Amino acid sequence: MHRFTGLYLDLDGTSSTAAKTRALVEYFRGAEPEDAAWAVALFLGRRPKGTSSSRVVTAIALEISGIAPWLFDECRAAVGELAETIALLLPGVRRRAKANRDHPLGVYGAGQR
Amino acid sequence: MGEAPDLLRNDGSGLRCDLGGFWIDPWGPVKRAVVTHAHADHARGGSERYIPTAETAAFMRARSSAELPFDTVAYGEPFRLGDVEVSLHPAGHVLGSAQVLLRPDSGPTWCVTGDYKIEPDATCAAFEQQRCDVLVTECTFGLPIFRWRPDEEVVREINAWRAENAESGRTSVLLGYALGKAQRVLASLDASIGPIGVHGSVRTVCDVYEGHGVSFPEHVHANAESAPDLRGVGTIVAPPSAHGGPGQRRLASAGGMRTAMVSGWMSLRGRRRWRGTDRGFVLSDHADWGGLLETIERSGATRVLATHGYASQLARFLRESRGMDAAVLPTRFGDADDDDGERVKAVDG
Repeated sequence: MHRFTGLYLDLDGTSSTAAKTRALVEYFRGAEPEDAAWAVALFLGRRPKGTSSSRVVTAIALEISGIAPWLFDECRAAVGELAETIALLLPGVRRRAKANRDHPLGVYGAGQR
Repeated sequence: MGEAPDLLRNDGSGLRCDLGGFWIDPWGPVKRAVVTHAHADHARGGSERYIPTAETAAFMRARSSAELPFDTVAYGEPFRLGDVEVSLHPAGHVLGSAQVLLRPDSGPTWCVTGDYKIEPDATCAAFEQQRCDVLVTECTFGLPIFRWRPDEEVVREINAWRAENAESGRTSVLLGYALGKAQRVLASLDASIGPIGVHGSVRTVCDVYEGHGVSFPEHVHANAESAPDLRGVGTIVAPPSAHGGPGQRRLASAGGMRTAMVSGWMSLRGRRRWRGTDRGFVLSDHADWGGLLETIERSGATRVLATHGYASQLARFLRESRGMDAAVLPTRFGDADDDDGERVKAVDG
């Protein structure tokens, strides 16, 4: 998952198509076959359905961040996107992610089946 | 809230102080204007007299063709206007930026923060917390999604990005507002990575900074003459308006160039994408959410008026979560100040 995150940051860090292509090639060359399949699915927008509803995710984010629902709505309106809003509101996400050991991309979806 | 009228009120030309016979950052022409800082939406022409810091006056002079009448004042030195003792205190926003402290002969003390930033930086006097009864605070970034990382971390990323670009033969272009942000970025650049060039509009402002004792790493004016030296290895500091212009293209090497916008708004992916730059570095000249709350608390104010930004949101938060007397002080457009020189519509009541 760390490699996928790195890929995402590389793609997000340039507006050059050539650089994006290079980053994708490099990722897929080194990825485990199952991770590569998940990466393709995710980029095609085929997210596994029903892993968690936005309502549940929002409720958890509200609980952890401790902010009022109206203020969360204001934040979401400013950001324009739920996942990014939550990422910006939760403290220390970046550091904790690094400290954790890595997981394959399919870990959550596979558990569902 | 008692019988006495407020010390400051919005009279359509600006924030007016009847007891003192002056306005703060008026947008219309007035008799006496106390100016918090030199950004164009705070320092406007047409008034009979201006009372800014010497640095703010220097910026206004450099920008205006007309001879502006100034009474400059130093930080922390009180002066009288009508029945009010007034003093200016560092706001840490840009060189010369000031908070305005107002002590009327009787009644509550007011402080108008102007735009401010709490983290100190090398290019201007550090923010000095004031104590007051009524605090008028800006809130450009008045939502909890805005939380700045330490400057050193961001600066390290900027320099690493420059080094990476230089290694692959690309010119780095850093975009930031010409007054304040560009100088802060310039001051943080590691000159050993490659030559540094500045856009003409940034250079004019740098001259004023240098005249007031601020020093920068060695840099040249980025123009046709210096372009061959900068191309492919150098870094250019330019205002956002230069993005994609002919001057910028001239500096692109065969390997191309990489552009990055430097602004607090870059914390939002949508803003970064809309800008069309490769990267966005989050470095703001405004207080973040935590900084706003800290300043409000440390001011000891019992009443808070929010202005310039997410004002209705901050005021509601202070009322509901802190039990404070808080409201919105409307400004001319009722919209948010951008820290990269644009105006952005805010959800403001």
